[in-house]
Amino acid sequence: MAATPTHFSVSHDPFSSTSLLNLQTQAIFGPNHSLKTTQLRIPASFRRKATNLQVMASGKTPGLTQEANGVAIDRQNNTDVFDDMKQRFLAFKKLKYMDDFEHYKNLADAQAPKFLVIACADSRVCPSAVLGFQPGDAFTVRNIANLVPPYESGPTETKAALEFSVNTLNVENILVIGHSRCGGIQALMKMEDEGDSRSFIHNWVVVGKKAKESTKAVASNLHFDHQCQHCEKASINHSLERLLGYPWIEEKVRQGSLSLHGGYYNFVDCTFEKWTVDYAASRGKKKEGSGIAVKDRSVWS
Amino acid sequence: MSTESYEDAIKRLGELLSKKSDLGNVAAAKIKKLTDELEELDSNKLDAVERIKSGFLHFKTNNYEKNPTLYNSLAKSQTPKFLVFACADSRVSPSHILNFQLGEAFIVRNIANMVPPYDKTKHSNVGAALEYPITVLNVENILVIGHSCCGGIKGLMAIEDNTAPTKTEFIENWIQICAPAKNRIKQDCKDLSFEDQCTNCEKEAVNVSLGNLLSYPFVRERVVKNKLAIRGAHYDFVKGTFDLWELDFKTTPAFALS
Repeated sequence: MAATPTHFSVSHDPFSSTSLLNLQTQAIFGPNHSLKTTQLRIPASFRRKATNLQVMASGKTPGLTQEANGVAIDRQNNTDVFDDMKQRFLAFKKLKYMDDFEHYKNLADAQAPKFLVIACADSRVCPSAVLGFQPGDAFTVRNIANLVPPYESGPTETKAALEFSVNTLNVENILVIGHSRCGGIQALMKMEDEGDSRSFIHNWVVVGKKAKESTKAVASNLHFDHQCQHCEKASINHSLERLLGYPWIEEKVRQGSLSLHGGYYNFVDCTFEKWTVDYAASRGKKKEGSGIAVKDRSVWS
Repeated sequence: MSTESYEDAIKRLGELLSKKSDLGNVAAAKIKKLTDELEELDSNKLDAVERIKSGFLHFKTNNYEKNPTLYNSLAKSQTPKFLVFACADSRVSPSHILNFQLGEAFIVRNIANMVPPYDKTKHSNVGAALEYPITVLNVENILVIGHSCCGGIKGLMAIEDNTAPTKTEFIENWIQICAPAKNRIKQDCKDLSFEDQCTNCEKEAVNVSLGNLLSYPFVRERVVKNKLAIRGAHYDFVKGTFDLWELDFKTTPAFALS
């Protein structure tokens, strides 16, 4: 191979012409030349390679290309992100927005979602993707570990969303979705001292401490991972019970104009378990303080 | 709202009709209509559940089962590059608008996509939602997306100053986080229509949130070291546009004056 192994390794790359063009452009216009002005759109995965190649081409040894990874974000990367966002949005506009323009036009006037969804902020459990909600279907709140604070206390973020969706939008269903391998629930289960306020995460997940207590009461002999899974589900029921503590939610559930559902998405085996709160049966239980009764449980797989 | 049970209501109706039998036809028509409505309500509920079931099975067949490598990896851990704050509004799911695939973005959604300033007790909710992706998952980008026709911002703009709290106690308590945006718009844009003021406030509120992000020490230190980029955006679904901008925050090296 010749004196510039970089170029030859590029040529074995199926996208070589693209990367090569990038390098040449860089050489002509200097290292600060922005990728934005090249005519060719260079996919993100190959931008990273191109950056590596640039370092290699500058005469440093291949070993030093390792340093190129994990380096602080520089201005060039920022331009990449803008470009990436732009492509993403234009794809949405072309493939979805323009195709369904009438629907979007109606939505612009008002939304009338049938669902309020409370889900975790975890990147793997987006309700739109996993349950196919389209724009206009579901008013969606996402927080750490899909927790619902009690009516009487706690941060107002989730509570404001409950107020708006139930009292103004008049949603007919509330769906609380928990999931497998939840970092928030894990943090809750690992917490030793509930007064530990060193971190925000602890300050927040302590909202779910009743779920942890009920889990420890029945599952403390299980492996920690299984305890966490138990707590993930217990926490959903605990949140549903908390929802009934909001007077205007309980009123609507009692009248039959609002239903409360729990959902558990297991992304390890891709199953979705769903159940509905049986309000009539729960009323008796509520007096004993022992949780809620459920019905219509099913598992989709 | 009446707390009378339906049995009491039917009993009362029966008593009335036995006294005034000429109301029989009217009653029959109304009862039929009510029964039809109740049946539809019930089937709507069934439809709602069927809807999400078919949504899930569609996802499983067309996405999950076609990308086993991706989903096996995600089952073990997540490495999202983005932390996104978006409104809970049903029309603005970031996965739709920006086509985020599962695993790409940690997404927090609340009323009017707000980030309050650092407060360990009052705002532990958002604090946790920042702390986890930034300090544990090491996301590289934060994106706060505002949008058109935002009910939360409209509510903020409509609050009269110095009035007693209304029945929307939680909403008002939450949206006043962006009161600085409202105050600025009321001053700078007082000649614009209420609607235009709201649009400006939607964007200004994003800027207030971007500023509030810097009140979190773990955010600020990463921004200064260039390990974390902060951007704001505004999605206008009336016009079909998306504006994107960046928060530029850095300290320059000091130079000695003496």
